[in-house]
Amino acid sequence: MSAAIDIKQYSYHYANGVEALCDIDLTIKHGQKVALIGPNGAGKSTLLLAMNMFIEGSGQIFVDGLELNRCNIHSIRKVMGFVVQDPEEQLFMPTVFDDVAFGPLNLELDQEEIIRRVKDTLKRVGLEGMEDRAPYHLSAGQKRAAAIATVLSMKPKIIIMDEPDTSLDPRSRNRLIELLSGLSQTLIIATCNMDFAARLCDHVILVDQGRVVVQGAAEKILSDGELMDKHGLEVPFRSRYSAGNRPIRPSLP
Amino acid sequence: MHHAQVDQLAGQRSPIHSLDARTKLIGTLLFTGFVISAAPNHIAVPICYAVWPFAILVLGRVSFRFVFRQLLLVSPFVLVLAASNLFYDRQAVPVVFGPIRFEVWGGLLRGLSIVIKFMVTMSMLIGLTATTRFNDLLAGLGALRVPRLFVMQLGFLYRYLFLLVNRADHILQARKARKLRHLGVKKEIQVAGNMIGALLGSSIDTAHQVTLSMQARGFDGRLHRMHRMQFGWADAVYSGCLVVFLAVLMGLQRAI
Ligand SMILES: Nc1ncnc2c1ncn2[C@@H]1O[C@H](COP(=O)(O)OP(=O)(O)OP(=O)(O)O)[C@@H](O)[C@H]1O
Ligand SMILES: [Mg+2]
Repeated sequence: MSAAIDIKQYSYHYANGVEALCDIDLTIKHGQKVALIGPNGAGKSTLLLAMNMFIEGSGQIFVDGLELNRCNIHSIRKVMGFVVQDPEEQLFMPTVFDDVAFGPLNLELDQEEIIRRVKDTLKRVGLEGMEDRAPYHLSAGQKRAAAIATVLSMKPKIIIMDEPDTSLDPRSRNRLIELLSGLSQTLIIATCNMDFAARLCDHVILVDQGRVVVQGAAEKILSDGELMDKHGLEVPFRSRYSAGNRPIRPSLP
Repeated sequence: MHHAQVDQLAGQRSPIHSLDARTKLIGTLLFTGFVISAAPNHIAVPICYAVWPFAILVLGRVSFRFVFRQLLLVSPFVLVLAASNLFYDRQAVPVVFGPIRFEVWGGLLRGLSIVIKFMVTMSMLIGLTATTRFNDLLAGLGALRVPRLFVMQLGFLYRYLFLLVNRADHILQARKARKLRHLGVKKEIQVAGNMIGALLGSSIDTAHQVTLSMQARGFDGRLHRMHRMQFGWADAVYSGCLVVFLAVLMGLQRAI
C-alpha cells in the first residue's frame, strides 16, 4: 500500500532568500498520528504549505500515492484537509453552517447529504445548535472547533493542522485531544507544545532550520531530554512518559 | 461593526428575505431606473416612490437606525452635488401647494429632487443588501448572466473589505494602547501613514491566507450554493405589486 505522504528530497526557499526547507525526506503511513515539532521558525508551517502545494519547491511529494502537480492538485485537496493556524482565516462565510458546508458543496454532494454532514460534524465538535451564528462572534475555542469542523465535514483521508492547540484553555485542549484521538484519519499536526504532541501522537518528526532532524516513535523522541534541549524544545511535562509510562487520558465529565 | 451587521440582518427570516435574489435584484434595478428618470424638478413624485423601500425595510425587519446611519455616511457627497445646482439655476419657478403659491429658484427644486431621489434609491439598495445573504446575491448575479469573473471579484472584495475593517479596528486599538501623548500634527500624519501601510500589508496577507483555506477546501473557482434558486408564488406577488406600484406612480407623474 502507498504511504499517506511521501516526501523526497524537497527543498524550498522564500523569495527573500530564506532557505525554509532543505532536503526533506519523510514518510507518513496511513492512519498515523504524527506530530511535526520544532522551535519557532523551524519550517513547520512551510512544510505543511508544501504538502498542500501552496508553495512549489524542488523535489517530490506524493500524497496517497499520487505525485503532487498542478493537474491533480484539486482532486488531491479533496482527500486532504488543511486547518490553517488562525481560525479567522479558516472561517469566511456569514454563518457557521455555511462555513462547514463550504467544503462538502465543493465536493458536489447532494443537499441532504450536506445537511447531514454539517449537523453530524457540528455535534461532534460540540457546536450543536450554533449553525446560524456568525463565525466571528464565537469564542476562540469555538472558532477553533468550527475551523476543524469545516475540514471534518469533507471526510478527508488525511488531515493537516497548523498549531491547533494555540489559544485554547486546558479544558478546550482536552476536548480537542479527545476529538482528534477519536479520528481514524491520518493526522499531521504542527505544534510547539510537546505536552500536546505526547498526548495525541504516536509518531514524531522533529524539524529544525528547515531540515528533518529525526523521525520515529513519539515515546522515544519526546523523552530524549538532550535532543529536545538541543533544539530548543522540552520533554513534555504531563506526558505519559514522564509519569512512569502511565498514559494520561483526558478526564472529561 | 457595519459589515457584520449587514451579514446579520441578511441572515434573518422574513417574507422579503425568502424572495429569490434574482427577483429582488431585478426589482431594485427597475425601481432605481424609474426613480432616476422621474422629472428633475419634481419633488412630490420621488417622495411617493419612498413608499416601496419603506415597505421593504419594514417587512424585512431592517432597523431604521441602521438605514439612517448608512444614508448619513454617504450624504455629504450628495449634498455637495445638490448644492451645486443652486449656483447655475436661479430662475424663479412657481410652486403650488394647495392654496399657497410662492416662487423659488429652479436650482433649489432640482437640488431637493436629487437629494430625495438619492435617499429613495439608496434605501432600496440598503433594503436589497440587508435582506439578501451576500452569497445569494452573488449567485443571483451569476444566474442573471453577469460574467463569473466579475461576480467572483465582487465576492472577494466583500470578504476583503471585511478583513480590512477588522484589521483597522485592531491597529487602532494597539495605537490607542500605546499612545501616551499628542505628538504634533506632522508626526501624527506620519504615524497615520505608517498605520495605513501596515493595514494594507497585513490585510493582503490575510486575504491571501483566506484564499488558501478556500482552495484547501476544494474551491476551484466555481461558487456552489446550498439551495437551488427557484421562483415561487411570493416572487410573483412581489413582482406584480412592484409593477402596479410603478405604473400608478407613472400615471401620477403624467397627471401632475
Ligand atoms: N512568507 C515568507 N517570506 C519569507 N520568509 C518566510 C515567510 N514565511 C516564513 N518565512 C521564514 O521561513 C522560516 C520558516 O518559517 P515557518 O513559518 O515555516 O516556521 P514555523 O516552524 O512554522 O515557526 P512557528 O513555530 O513560529 O510557526 C522562518 O525563518 C521564517 O522567517
Ligand atoms: Mg508556523
